Amino acid sequence: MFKKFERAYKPAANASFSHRPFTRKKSCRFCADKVLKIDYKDTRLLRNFVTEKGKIMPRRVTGNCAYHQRKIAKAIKASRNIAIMPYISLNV
Amino acid sequence: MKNNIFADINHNFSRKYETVIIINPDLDDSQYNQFVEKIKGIIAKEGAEIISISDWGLRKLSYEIKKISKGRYIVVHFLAKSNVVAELERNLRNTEDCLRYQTVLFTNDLESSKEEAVNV
Repeated sequence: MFKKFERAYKPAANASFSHRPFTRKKSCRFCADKVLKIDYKDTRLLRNFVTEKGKIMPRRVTGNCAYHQRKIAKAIKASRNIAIMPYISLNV
Repeated sequence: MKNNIFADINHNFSRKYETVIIINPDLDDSQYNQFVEKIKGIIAKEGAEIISISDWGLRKLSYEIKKISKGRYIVVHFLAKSNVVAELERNLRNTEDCLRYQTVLFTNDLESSKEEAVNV
C-alpha cells in the first residue's frame, strides 16, 4: 500500500501505466486536529462520514485511522438510535 | 463467593452517565414538568446525584417512531452507580409518553453543549 502512494507523488516514469493517477495520501482528520471531538449528538460532523443515502462510508474513502473510524461508526449508530441521524434517507 | 465479589464491583463505583430521552411532543407544560420531576425522583431515590437536565425543545425526528414525526428531547447528566441506570430504564420503558431513551457513559469527548433545537 505504501509504495503505491509514493509512486503517486512521483508521476514521472509510471504515469502512463498507473491505473489511478491522482491518488493522494489522506490523513486522519482527528489525529491531525486533537481538539476535534467525536460526539454522537453532533450531526454536523457526522454528516461528513455518511453517504447521501445514510450509509457509513468506508475508511478508504474517509481516510480516517482505524481507531477513529471505529469511534465514528459507533457514534453514528448511537445517533441513529435516538433519531438524530437517519438509518436510510430516501428523499435525497 | 464469586457472586459477592461481583456485587462489590457493581455497587462501589459511581460513574457519570448521560441519557437522552425523547418524549411525546403533545404533552402540556404541566405534564412535561411532571415527567421531569418523575425522573428526578427516580434518580434521587437511589442516592445518586443529578448534574444537569437540559431541554433541547421540539426537534424533527429523522424517522417516525410510533407514527410520530416530532419529538421533545431531554438530556440528563447524572452521577450514579450501575443499578440506578437499570432502574431508570425500567421506569422509562413503562411510560407511554417516552418514545426513546439511550444511556451512555459520559466521557470528556461528549460536549455538554446542546444541539440547535429546530422548531418546525
